[in-house]
Amino acid sequence: MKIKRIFLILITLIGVAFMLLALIVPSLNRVRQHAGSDSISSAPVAQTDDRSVDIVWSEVKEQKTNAITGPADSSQELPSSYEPVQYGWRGRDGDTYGGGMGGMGGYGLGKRPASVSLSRRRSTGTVRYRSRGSVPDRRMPAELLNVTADEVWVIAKAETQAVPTSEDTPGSGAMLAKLPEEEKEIPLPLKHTDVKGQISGYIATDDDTQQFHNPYDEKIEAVYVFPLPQNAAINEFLMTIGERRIRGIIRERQEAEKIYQEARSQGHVASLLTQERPNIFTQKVANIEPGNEIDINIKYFNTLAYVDGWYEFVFPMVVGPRFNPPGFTDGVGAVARGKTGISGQKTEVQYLKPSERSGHDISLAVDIDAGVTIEKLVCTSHVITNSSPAREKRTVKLSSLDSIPNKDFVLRYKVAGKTVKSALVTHRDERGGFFTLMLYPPENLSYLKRAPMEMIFVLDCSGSMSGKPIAKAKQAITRALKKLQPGDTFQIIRFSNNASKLGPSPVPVTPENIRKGLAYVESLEGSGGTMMIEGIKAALDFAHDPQRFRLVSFMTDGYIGNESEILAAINQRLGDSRIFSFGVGSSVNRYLLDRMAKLGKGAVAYIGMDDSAGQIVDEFYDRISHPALADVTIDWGDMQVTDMYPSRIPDLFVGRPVILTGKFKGASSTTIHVKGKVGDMTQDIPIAADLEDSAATHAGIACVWARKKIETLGSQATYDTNPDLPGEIKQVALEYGLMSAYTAFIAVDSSRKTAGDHGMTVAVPVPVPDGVRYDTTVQN
Amino acid sequence: MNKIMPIILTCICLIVPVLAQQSEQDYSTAQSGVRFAPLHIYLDSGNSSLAAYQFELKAAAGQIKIVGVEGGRHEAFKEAPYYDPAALAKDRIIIAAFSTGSNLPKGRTRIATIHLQVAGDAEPQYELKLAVAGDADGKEIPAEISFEKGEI
Amino acid sequence: MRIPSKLSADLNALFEPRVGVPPEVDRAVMDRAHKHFAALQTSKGRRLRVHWAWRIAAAAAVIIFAFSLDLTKQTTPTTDRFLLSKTQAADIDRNGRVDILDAFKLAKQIESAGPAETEWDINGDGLIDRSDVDVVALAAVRLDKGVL
Repeated sequence: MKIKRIFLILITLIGVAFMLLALIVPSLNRVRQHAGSDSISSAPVAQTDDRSVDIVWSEVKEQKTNAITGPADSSQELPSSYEPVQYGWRGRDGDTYGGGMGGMGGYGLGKRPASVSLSRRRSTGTVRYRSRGSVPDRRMPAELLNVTADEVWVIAKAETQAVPTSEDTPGSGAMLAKLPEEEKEIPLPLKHTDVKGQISGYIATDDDTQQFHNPYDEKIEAVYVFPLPQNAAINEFLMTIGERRIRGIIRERQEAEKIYQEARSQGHVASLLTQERPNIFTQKVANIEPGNEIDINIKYFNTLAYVDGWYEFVFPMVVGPRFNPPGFTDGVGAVARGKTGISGQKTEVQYLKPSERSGHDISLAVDIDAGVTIEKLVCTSHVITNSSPAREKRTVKLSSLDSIPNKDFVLRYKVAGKTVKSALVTHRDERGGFFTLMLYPPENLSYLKRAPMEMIFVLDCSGSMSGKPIAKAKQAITRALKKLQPGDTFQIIRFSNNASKLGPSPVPVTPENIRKGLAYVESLEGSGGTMMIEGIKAALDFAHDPQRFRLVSFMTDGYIGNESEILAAINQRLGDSRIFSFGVGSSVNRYLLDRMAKLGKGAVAYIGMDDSAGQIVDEFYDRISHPALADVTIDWGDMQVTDMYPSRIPDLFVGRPVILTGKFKGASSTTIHVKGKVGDMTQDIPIAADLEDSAATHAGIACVWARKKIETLGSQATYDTNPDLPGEIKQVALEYGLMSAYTAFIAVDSSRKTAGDHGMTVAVPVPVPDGVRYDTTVQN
Repeated sequence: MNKIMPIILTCICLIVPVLAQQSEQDYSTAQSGVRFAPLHIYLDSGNSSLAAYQFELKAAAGQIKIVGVEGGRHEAFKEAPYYDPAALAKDRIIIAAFSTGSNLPKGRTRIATIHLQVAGDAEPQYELKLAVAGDADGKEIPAEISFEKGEI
Repeated sequence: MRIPSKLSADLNALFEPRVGVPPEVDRAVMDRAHKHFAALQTSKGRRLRVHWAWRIAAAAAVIIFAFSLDLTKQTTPTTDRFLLSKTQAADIDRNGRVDILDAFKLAKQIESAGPAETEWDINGDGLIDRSDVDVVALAAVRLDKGVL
């Protein structure tokens, strides 16, 4: 009886276990499929030396990897009759108006002919490897180093070599045996990015097309993390599959992500665009079938920075490798290609090794209509060509010789006029009246006595600054030290894993102290992590000298993942200090540096690898050593202004206007009074506002305002725990159809399902920014 | 009871894996209860050339979300049409497009495809109203609008 | 040891002899007691039910009221939608409504470079161009300005 009972119990237990297994195992399989852990670039071999790994990898993957498309001959251009898909407006003949959101092109420009795209198409082929000796040297020829500012800066770059092509052979092994020292071309789902910019006044409208394709013999999901200007307002999203164009829909982020996952798991071609930071976005394209191509078109606009008569158009091309403090998981990880998940961060960017290169290149063209004569145009970052159809217009194109996307494209142009007047630009529609006001301070303030300063230099000595960046930063600090005057005091702080300083407190400016400071700066090197919080604490956590104007200058590339923590710390500790941030490098974190300057009521300057640090410092400190107008308030007259951003008007510095944006209800002309302190005196600057002046309108102003509101609320959310903020951001973003941290664009082709499961996830790896060392910044 | 229990359990253990295998095939749809389907919009302008259209789409029953808006088949309406993004929060949307070109469609033509996510088992019902159709001269023309649920 | 008889008598006087209770009396008393307590429970229960009923009713009323307010509904947009004086200008064909044909006609006029009316500069930028066409088209598809 007892045995029988035991037997029954055993049978029951076995049955229950079997039942549970039958239920759990299929679920596990589904979870594994959804996690997409089958990365095409993960090699199931032990890591011995690179060469053996690569050879073994190629053997293992021979059956899986498709032929690699190589770069076409750089002289290859598309026929002039080629006209890319122009969304909406096509020109005179056979226009198709399908503007959807209405598009942002052509504002104020009148009619324009269909433009010819010079985007390159790659022909497919098998990769050939060459010895290092045949790879062209990319350094700037010496004869071009001393080009003056009056000339267009042309930095000669070696032409990229054409790779012999053969027919595309899906399914065949593409990774051939690699010889040591050879560059290895990596198959990428992203083959080309085409950028078209239109500048009207100080508002730029950009039209970016990312061309994804599947060079493998299995279906894939492509994931691409990329940067955009930090004040970019993305308002259109288009997915092109062959001849078909599907407009994406802006939705609440979680909802969009859910829709995407569902579509992906069901085999539909789908794309999702999300924002990780105001300047970092993730593009996902699911179910790209072998050999197929899918284009993603993103339209956005942003306002240009204006400094000392120069406008600056920036197109960032690569996200720099970020440092994330221990324990911080909401950052941006920097990992080697194929090493998904090792950083533990929510967002990851994969980087190519210096010996690896991708076929991804970029084409860029910008049309400028400044409205006034353009006196000079300079691009120190890339080789460009430019033409001038009229005195106030320029057409700038990125040379095909310089199309590797490993540094920001920075274009500056100077407009005529010694003094730019303060200007009001308005727009009205059924949502109300919107305005931007560019406040420009009086030009001649040399009569103002310079106040004694307490200069705090904070230098980023982390690994990412190693080499050129820290050399530039040291040059800048050296120059600034030499410009200090008796009566000033200074302190030098370095930070990487921790922070240390020249002395326990700021020291007075004397020849001996300056000499010690210079020697200290000279001794600093770049290595270690980027614990910027330590630098901030060291710079702001000591008593402010009330007799002096404290300026805290940060010299950094901004390669950190915990921006919100840093901004919150600055907001908490700022007091009466002013923060001036210097971005040093080829692809700095402009979002962070701009926000630091705004929070710190200061200003920002950028020093590229080819810029003269001394010159930039000279101009910068000459301007900021005394504010032109402090404690600024505005009497808006009859405008009935609401929702103005920034709500706290910063100080005005000579050469650096302040742009305010807001809403208004007034209908008639009025006079705006800008009041502030100049030295000890109060100034009142009247500005005539003709609200009926049709020449002073711009249709993009409404979205500029909405974008500014989202940005302000988003920044506030970094240090304000108000739970209503996310909802408010979402509401504005959805109402104006804009991307934000809480909204996302989704597009699904519901008309067909692709065969098989959703395929492998392939992250698009990118090169480390020019001048940044891979071994000190990327997790391997 | 003691004799019957192991028999019942054994039967369950045999049946459950079979059911699990079957359910896995329909996992995505059954588990989440959502599917994706296109809604093709057709306009029959008869003998007149169609240059412009505007219609309103409303979900009369069922839970749908618009996940993409695509243009039509004819070259004149290939571009994705205009729509109001703020309307997506509601259950109706107005879609419109036009073409100033000379190559315009006649007769029945597909003018747009709305890509939808459909939740639940209930088949959604749609209401489609043509607001206006115009010919190359901008004159209103009679036209018949219809939709077809796309097959996958 | 034997207690004194007087002590025994006094003790007996202190403690009355037990009175025997007949079983039927005992039952009757217990029945009465049970009935009594049952009644108490009923009234207590009734009081409790009444006590909670009105509380539940009050809570239900609050919930119904809250739902009637529809707090989950999106608040109206922060923007003030005011009727622009130029809205009528978007009615290009002057048929009393703004629809896609207005945008189409404006586009055709621009293409043909024909005579333009100044009020066709819908966005007020001094130019009559595609931007104005877009404004009209977007006005046509807005739900609150739709023709249906």
